[in-house]
Amino acid sequence: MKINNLKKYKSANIFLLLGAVVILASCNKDLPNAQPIPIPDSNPVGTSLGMEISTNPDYSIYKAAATRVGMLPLLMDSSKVFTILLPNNAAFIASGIPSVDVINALPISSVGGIVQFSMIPGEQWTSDKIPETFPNIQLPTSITIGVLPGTTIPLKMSVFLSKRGSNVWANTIPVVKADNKFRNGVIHVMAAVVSPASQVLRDAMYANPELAYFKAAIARADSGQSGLAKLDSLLGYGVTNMTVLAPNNAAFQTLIFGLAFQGYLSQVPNPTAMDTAIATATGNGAVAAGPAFLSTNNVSTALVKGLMAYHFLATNTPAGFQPNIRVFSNNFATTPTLVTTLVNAGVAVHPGILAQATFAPGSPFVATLTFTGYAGAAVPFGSAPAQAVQKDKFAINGVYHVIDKVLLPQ
Amino acid sequence: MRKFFKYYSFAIIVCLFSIGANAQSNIIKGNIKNSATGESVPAVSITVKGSGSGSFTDDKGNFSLSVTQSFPLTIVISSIGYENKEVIVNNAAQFVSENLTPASVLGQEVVVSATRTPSKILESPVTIERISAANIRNTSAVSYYDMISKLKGVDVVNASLTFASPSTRGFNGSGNLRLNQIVDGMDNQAPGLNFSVGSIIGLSELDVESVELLPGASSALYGPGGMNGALIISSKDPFKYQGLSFQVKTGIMNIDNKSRDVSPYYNWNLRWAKKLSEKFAFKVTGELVQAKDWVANDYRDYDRLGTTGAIKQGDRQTDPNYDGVNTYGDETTADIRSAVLNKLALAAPFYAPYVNALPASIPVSRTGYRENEILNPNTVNAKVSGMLSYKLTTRTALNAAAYFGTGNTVYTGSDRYSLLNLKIGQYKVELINPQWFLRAYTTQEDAGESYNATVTTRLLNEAWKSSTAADGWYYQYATSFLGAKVGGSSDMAAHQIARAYADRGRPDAGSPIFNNIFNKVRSIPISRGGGLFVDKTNLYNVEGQYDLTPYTEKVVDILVGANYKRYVLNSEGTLFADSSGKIPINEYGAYAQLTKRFANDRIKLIASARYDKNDNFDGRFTPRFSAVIKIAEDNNIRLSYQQAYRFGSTQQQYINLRVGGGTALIGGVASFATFYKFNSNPIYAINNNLFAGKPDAVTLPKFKAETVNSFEAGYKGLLAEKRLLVDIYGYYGIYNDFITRRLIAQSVNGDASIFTTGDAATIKANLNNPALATSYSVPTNVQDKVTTYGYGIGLTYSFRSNFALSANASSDNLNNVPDGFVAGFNSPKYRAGATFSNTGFGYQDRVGFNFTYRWQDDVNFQSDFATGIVPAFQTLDAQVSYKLPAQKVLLKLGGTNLLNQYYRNGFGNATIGGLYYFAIGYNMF
Repeated sequence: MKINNLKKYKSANIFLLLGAVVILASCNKDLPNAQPIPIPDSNPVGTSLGMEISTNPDYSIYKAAATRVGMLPLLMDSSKVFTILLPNNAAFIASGIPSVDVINALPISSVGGIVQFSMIPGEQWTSDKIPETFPNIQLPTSITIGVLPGTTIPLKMSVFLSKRGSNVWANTIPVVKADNKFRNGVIHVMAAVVSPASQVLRDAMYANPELAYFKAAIARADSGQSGLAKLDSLLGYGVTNMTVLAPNNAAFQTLIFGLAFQGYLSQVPNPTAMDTAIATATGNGAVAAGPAFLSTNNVSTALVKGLMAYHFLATNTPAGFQPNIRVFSNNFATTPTLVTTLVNAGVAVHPGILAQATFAPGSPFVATLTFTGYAGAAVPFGSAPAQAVQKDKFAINGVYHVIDKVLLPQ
Repeated sequence: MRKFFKYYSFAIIVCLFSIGANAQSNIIKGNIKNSATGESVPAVSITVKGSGSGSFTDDKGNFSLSVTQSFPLTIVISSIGYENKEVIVNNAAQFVSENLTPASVLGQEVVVSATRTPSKILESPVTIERISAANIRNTSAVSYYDMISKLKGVDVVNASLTFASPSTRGFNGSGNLRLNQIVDGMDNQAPGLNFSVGSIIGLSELDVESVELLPGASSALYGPGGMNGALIISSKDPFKYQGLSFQVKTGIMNIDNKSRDVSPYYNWNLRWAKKLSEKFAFKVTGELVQAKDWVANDYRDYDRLGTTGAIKQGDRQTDPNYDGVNTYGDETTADIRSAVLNKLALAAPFYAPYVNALPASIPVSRTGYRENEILNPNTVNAKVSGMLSYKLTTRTALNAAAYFGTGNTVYTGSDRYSLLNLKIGQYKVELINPQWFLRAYTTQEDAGESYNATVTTRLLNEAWKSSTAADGWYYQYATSFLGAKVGGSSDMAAHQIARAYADRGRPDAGSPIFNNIFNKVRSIPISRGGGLFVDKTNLYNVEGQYDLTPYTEKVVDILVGANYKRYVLNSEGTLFADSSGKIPINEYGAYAQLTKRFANDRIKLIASARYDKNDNFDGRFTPRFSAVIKIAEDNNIRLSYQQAYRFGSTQQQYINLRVGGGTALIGGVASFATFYKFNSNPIYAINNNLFAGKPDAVTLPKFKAETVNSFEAGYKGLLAEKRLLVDIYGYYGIYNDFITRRLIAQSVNGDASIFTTGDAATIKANLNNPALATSYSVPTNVQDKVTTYGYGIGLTYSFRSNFALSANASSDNLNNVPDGFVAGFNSPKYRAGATFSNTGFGYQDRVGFNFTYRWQDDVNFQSDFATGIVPAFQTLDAQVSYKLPAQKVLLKLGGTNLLNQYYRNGFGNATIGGLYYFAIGYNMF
C-alpha cells in the first residue's frame, strides 16, 4: 500500500511538473491599452518654421521683425501650424525697409502688423490648396481686431490668397517661391511685404481727393435709408468684404455734364446750334456746381442709387446678392468677363459689368484694368471702357479701384 | 398572484397535517459508517427490499426506518460512492451498525435530465455532463456555478463576478438566450431578460445535489429555448439530507488590478434541514456573497456603428471622437461642422472659407467616465430559500418552496447594466411522485434600482451641460476649437484646447455634485429621460408529467407531459413597448416520449416529440429520435437526431430601447413596423452599399422561431478495468431561420438623399446624426442555413486511493454566416481542460486536493454591446483540503486563476484575476 502510494505521488509530481511547465510557459494577454493616434508633424521635416527663419540668412530682416515682437517661439511650437507669407530680405528692400536697423527703428505696432499679417494660423495653405476660382480665398491672419460678437472667437484681419496658373498672390503681392515646407507649416516667399490695412473703406475713400463726387453720390444714394441699407454704413462696417469701383471726380463731372446737357436738349423739340451752345453752358454750369450738384433735384435719388449700386461688386448667396467679395486687380480675368453687382439685388438677371485685367508681359503685376458698363454705346459720350486709374486701394473691409468713368447700368 | 400561491400552498399543507393515521408499524434504528475512515455517512438510503418504504441516515449517520412488514426482513443500504450492502434484520430491537466500503463512482451516476426519467449516465442517449455534491465539495471553484465552465464543451461568459452565462456548442453572450436553466423543476430565467441571471436566484451551494448539463439541442423535452443546452440543477431532499451545514469562505481578490485595490471576498452558506416525522420535513438555506466586483477596463477606442463596430486606434487625447469600450458618456457624438461651425460661417462669412477648408465632418464625442467611476463596486448576492415537504403517501410528496435572491451585479446586454437591488423570487407548489408530477410556479422579477450605465452617464453629461443648448457643450467646444485654430493651433491641439474649455467645471467622479446628478439621473426611468431600467416582468407556469410505462411497458414505455406558460411584460415603457400597459405573452406545449428496448436490452430506441405555441409565433412541432446501443457492459454508443427551436425572446419580441450609440433596438412583432412606418418611409440595409451611396431598400419578412436540427453521435464507456471513463461526441447542427439582429437605417424626415449624396464619410456622418437618420437594430431570421459542427473527448482515469486524472478537449465551429449578419457564435474553435484531484488520501483520507486547468482559443466575440477579439486564455484553479472527521469540519485553501493572469471571456466584459480563499465547512455532504 505504501509503495503504491509512493508511486502514485511520484506520478502526481510528474504530472504537476509537466502542467506547471505548460502553464508557466504561456501567459494570458494583458488587455491592451488604448493606442494614441500618432499625430504627425505637418510635414516630415525636422526644421520648424521658427528655426528656418532664425537660420536662413535671406530671412534676416523678417527674423529681426519676428524677434522684436516675440513671435519666434510660436513659430517653433510643434502644436501650432502656420502659413507664412514671408518677405525675404529682397522683398523688405523692395518695400522700403532695407535693413534690420530700419525694422528696429519702426514703431513696434508697425512691426507687429507686418509679422502678424504674414501669419495665416492653423492651416497649411500650400499652393495646391489655393483655389483658382474667382476671386480668391479669404483667410484670417494673426492680427486680432476684436472678438466675434457673442462668441469667444477672436476676430482676425483677413488676407486673400489667389492662384492663376502658376502664379500665386497674397492680396496683390506675388509669391516668388511657394510651398517651402517645414515641420509646423509652410513658407511662401513674397515679392514684397504684404501690409495690413489700417482704415475701413469709408475713411480711406472719403479721404481720397479724387473721390469727392463719389462721396456726395453715396450720400445722395443713402438718403431715406438707415442702418446697413446705407452704402455709407457698409463702407464703414469693419467686417464687410467689398470691392468698390469708385469713379473719380472727372468721371462724375463727365456724367454731370452729360446729364445737364441732355437734360436741356431733351426739352427742345428741334435743337438749333444755339440750343446746343446753351446746353453746353448748362452742362458747364452743372459741373461748376461741384459735388453739390448730386444733392440737388437735378438728379433723382433713384438714379444715383442705381448708379452707385452698379459700382459695388456682389455675388449671389442664399440671402440674395451681397457685396461680399474682395477682387484685387490680379483676380480679374484676362479676357473681358462679366461680374455681377448690387444692381443684381434688384434685377437678378442683370448681366453686370465686363471686367478685364491685362498683365504686363511676363509679369505677375496687372498693367491695365478696365470695366465696361452694360449700357455701353447707349451711354452718351461713347462706350469706351473705364480704366482703373488707381488700382487695389486696400482697406480693412475691402478694396477699391478708382476708375475714370462712371459705369451706367442701362 | 404571488400572494395567491403562498396562501394556497399554505392552506393545502395545513389540511394535509390533519391527514394521518398510520398502520401498525415498527421502527428499525441504526448507524452507518465509512469503512475506510470511520466517519459517519449521511444521506445513505435505507430501504426495505422489495418495497417502497425507505429512509435516509441523518448527518450523524443515524437512521430510523418505520416498517410495516413482518420480521425478518432485508434492508438495502446504498449510497453513491459506496458498495451496496444488504442486511437481514430479525427484529425491531436489533441496532443495525454497518460499515460501507467506498467504491469507484466512475460512470455509475444516475442522471434524470437526458430522458426526464432516471438512467445510468453511461446509458444516456445524448451527451450529458454532471456535477455532483461530492464534486462540489472537492472543487477549487469559489461557487458551484463556476464549475460549469470547466465541463467539456462549455463556454462561460462572465459579465461580472456573480453573473456567469454558460453555453454549449456556440452562441453565447452575457446572458444566453439559447440555454434553458431549470432549478428544481422551475424555469430559472429572469422573465424580462429571458435568461438566467447566473445563480443569483437559485440554490445555495450547500443545497445543490446535482447539476446536469445537456449540451446542444434539448427542446424536445424542455421546450422552446434549449437550442444550445439545458442546465438542470436539483436541490437536496430535506428527508434525505438533514441537519445543519454551513460554509464560510473568505478570500481576497483584485490583487495587482490596475483598476481596483485589493479587496476581500466573502461567501457564507447555510443549510438546515430537518425531518420532523416520517411524513414531514423542511429545509431553509441561505447564501451571502459580498465582494468588490471585477472591473471592465477596456479603454480602447471603439468605432461604433449601430450595434456593431470594431476597435480602432485612438485614445481620449488623440481622437476627438474617442469612444472607449468601457468608458461611458462618450457615446454621445456630434459633428461640430454641421452642428455649430457651418452655422457660424453663415453668420460670419469672413470665416466661411476658413471653416469650409476644415474637414467636411468633425465628429466629436463628449468626455466619458470610466466604468469604475460609474458602477457600484460592491457586488452583493443574498439568497434564501425554504421548502416544506409533506409525504401524502410513501411515494407522493407535496412540496411548497420559495426561492428568493437579491443583490447587485453587472450585466452586459446592449449596454453595461448595473443590476442594483435586483430581486427575483420563485415560488412553487408541486405534487411529486416517481411516476408523475404536477407543478405550478411563478417567477416574480423586479429590477429594483437597476440602470443602464451608458444611458445614465450620457444623461449625467447632459444634466451637467447640455449638448445641444445654444451655449451648450458642443457650441462651447466648436467655438473654442475655431478660436484655437485661428490662434494657430494644429487640429489636435485645437481639439485639446476645445475639450478643456467645454469640460471646465466638469464634475469629478465621486464628487458630491457628481453623485448628486448621477443618483438623480439613475432614478428616473429611461422612458422619462433617465437611466432607470424598470422591469417587473413576471412568469407563471403550470406543468405536469405522467409516466404511463406501468400500463404500457409490455409494448413500449410512454412518458407524456404538458405545460402552460404566461409572461406578463411590465417595464413601464423603459425596456419594452409597454408604455400603455402590461403585455401578456402566452405559450403552451405538450410532449410525449416513447422508449423501446430491443435485443435483450442491448438496443434502446427513444422517440420524443413536443408541440409548442406562442402568441406571436406559429406552433412548432419538434421531434427527437435517439438510440443507445450497448456494445458491451458499461460501453454504449449513442446516436440522436433532435430538433430544437426558440421563439424570439421577450426582448426580441417587444424591446423598444435606444442604446449607447443611439441605435433603436426594437422587437420583431409586426406592430413595430407599423409604428415606425417602415412601409411608407423606406428602410435600408446598413452595409457597404449604403456607404457607397447605393442603399439597398429592405422589407422585413415575418419574424419566425428559429430551429436547429442537430445530429449527434457519441460513445461513453468504461475501459481499463473500469478505471478509465471515455466520453466522445461529435455533432452537426443546421440552424434554420436563425434569429439575429440586423441594422437598418431610415431617414428621420423621409429624405433618402442623405444616403445617396456625398462620400462614405458624409453618409456615415449622416447616419450617425440623430437629426437626420435613425438606425434600428431589428431581430430577423437569417434566410440561409447556418451550420455548426463540433466534437469533443473526455477521459477520466481513476487511480487508487481516490486519485483521479481527467482531461478533455473540444471544438466548435460555425459555417455559412451570410454577410452583414451578426451571429454572435462567440465560441473558441478549441478549448481543453485537465483536472488532477483527490477526494481523500493520507491518514483517514483526510487530505484532498484539486487542480483544474483550462485553456481556450481566441474568439471573435460579437455582441450588441461591443465586438472584437477575445484573446486565448488559460486558468489554473487549485485547492487543498483537510478533513477533521470527528468535528465534521472541512478546511479548504484554494484559489481560482491561481497565476493571477487577468483575462476576459467576453468582449467589453470584466477583467478577471485571481481569487484566493480559505473556507471552513461544517457538515458538508
